Amino acid sequence: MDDNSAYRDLFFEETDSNLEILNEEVLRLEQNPEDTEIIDSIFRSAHTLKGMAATMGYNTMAKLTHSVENVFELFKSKKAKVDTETVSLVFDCLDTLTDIVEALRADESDELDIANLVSRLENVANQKNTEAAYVETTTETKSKEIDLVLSNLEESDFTVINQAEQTDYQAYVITVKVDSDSFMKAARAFLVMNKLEQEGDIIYTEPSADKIEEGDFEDYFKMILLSKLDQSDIKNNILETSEIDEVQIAIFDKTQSLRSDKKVPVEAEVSNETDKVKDKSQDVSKKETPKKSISKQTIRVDLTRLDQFMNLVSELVIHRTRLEDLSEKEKLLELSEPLTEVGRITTELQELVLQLRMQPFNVVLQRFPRMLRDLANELGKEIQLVTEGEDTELDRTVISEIGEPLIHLLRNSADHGIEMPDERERLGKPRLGTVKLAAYPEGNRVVVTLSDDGKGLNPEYIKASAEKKGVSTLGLSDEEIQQLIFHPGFSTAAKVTGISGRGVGMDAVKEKISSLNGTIETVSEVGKGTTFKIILPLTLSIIQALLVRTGGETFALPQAIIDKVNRFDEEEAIQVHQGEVYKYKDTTIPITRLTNALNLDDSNYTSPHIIIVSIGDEKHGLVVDELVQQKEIVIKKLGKELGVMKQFLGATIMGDGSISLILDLTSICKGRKEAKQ
Amino acid sequence: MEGEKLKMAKRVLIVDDAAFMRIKLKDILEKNGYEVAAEAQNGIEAVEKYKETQPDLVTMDITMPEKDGVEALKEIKSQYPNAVVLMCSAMGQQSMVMDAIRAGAIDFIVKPFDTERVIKALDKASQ
Repeated sequence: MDDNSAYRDLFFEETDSNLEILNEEVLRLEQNPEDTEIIDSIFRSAHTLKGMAATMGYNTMAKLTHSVENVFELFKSKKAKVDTETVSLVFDCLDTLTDIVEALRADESDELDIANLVSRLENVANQKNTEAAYVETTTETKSKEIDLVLSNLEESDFTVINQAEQTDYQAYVITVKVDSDSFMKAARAFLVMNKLEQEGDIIYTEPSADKIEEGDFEDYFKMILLSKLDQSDIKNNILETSEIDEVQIAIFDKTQSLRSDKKVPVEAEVSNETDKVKDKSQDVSKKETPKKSISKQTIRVDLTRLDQFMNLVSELVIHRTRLEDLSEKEKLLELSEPLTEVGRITTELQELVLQLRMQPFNVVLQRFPRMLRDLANELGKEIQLVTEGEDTELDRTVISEIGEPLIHLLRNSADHGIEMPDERERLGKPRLGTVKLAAYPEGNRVVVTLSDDGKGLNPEYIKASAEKKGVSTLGLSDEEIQQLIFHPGFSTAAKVTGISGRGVGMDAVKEKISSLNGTIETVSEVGKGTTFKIILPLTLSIIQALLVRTGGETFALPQAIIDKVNRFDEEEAIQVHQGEVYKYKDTTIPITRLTNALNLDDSNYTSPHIIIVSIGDEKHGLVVDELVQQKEIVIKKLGKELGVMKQFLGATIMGDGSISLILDLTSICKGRKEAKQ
Repeated sequence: MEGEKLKMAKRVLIVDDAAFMRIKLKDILEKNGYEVAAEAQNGIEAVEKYKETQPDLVTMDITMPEKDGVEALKEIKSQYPNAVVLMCSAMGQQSMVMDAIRAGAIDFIVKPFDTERVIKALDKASQ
């Protein structure tokens, strides 16, 4: 496999996206079995996959894709019905293909056992009397079997053919295969048809003439030609054109070509059929310019490069800040104007790079409909997935990490949440259970909710289960008991199923979300359903921050969670038994003194301020010594050694080259609260 | 190849405004038993050279100054209906190629040229 390695990355990217398309489209197909557009799209993806696999020399993959493609071919020609069984088989194949691709990606052999799948696929194919035997040659993609089966004939076509045959014309079915790497397939097809039109009339094409003209066909196209020439002359005529791979021609067989299962409109008029022949043939040659579909142009970029870009921009921001400081300190007026410009441009650059890293939530959602379908089938339940806010954008790191916990929650909802259809009916609910997954931006956070209309979390079961496992429930409210599902080693499923209920999971979900600096909470009502609310930060590496000084040190606070900043007088702190509180907007909120929280020397307060921050739904007051300024900062992650210090999100390099720590207020304020409890 | 066929080498008129394209085509043609009858660098020259040399085949570039390939093709075809003209197209000129086919071009090749394809197309066109 000489220089194929250069194409490996591209291969994997394209394969991933084609597999994704297939998964989605097959799912759609199951719901709209008659939609030929979906079938076409499926077919294209499968074909591309096969071609790529064969080119790369991945024979197992090529072979399996080939077999799947054959089944799609049957769907396409309507010889096989799109039923649940076949669709499930196709999904099994897609899963195996994914496994193969993963194996290949890990540089392992792709020798997975696909004999079983292939034979099942072949059964589907054989039942329908097609012989699309797989020819294992090195050029399997090139020798894709072409056939003379037409699938969209109408009654009128037959009328035309009958008429023509009475006037010495012969009707031929012709399939022409263009070189797969030929440019301008459309023009090539046009050239062929143009030549044929000089010796006869083309009364039918597949795909339709306009599609051919747009080049919207696989490597081959089919037609019915009425001509007085004999077969071999026509064939030679076509082969005179360059870059034509293969031509098949046969006398049109009226008995076989009409699809029995399609209702054909009965054409009343027969008299002016010859005109129709002409009309159609003109149709083929009349259209001048192919319509070009306008689409957004995109390119694929290696993620590491994007990250590198991000890092470079971050560095740039740091040094811009340093320059600004210098210019201010030295009163270099000449510098200030160009610096303003640099500032503007770096800000734009930052925004741009941040946007580049954003991906729509949809990217995560894509695989869920398929998953839920499989789950529902396996469990014998009826479940629909409703999604909302697919366009909500999240940083790609969050996007790539959030899938796993969501899958777990989704599985839980399907398994434990939604009841069996009969039981639902008995409870007066619709048989069809609903799982809703929604995402929406909230300030500079994104909220993802997953709710089901199932049985909800019953505190009594949880309590019983918790006690059995030695988890104390003493004095906990029902809501607090419900939160116990996030407790390590907890599972309420009476029986461990293959889907969920292995007892690990919910705590892993919580941990994962915490590691993304997010929070998860659950609201559940017995009999009505459960909602999980996940709040995620946009975790961007450049943020607006407020710099404060306390105990002689400068710290940064993320601007986003700051509600308000007030001057603070000692008299305003009210002592209560749990600690200090502060009157804010008619309520009292707990106070945290940063000096205490961080064990700093608090002797010299010069101008104390209280910063009101929002943490979830709660407000907290943070007392600091002095405000410094508001600034854009770049978050640098703390290394492993310092990572254990939960009070800090990271650090940032200041304009003068010194380092400030960024406070994690959730940890500081909540930590205080827990410590007091 | 030459030994088996004692037929006269086919004479080709190369039309292209880019010199290096002409050099490349000439090289390909001569190495494969064709004779270059003449070269032209625009449509007007192409028509003149066609009259002068009466070649067996023409390779006609589409975009050229003065007179483009499709115009030149039409003019040649109107005077010499049996002229065998092969269009040379850049990618993205599909509609021009279609125009040329309508005007009687026998085949087309897409740039950048691939020797094998050029020869195959020429062989087929000169049959």
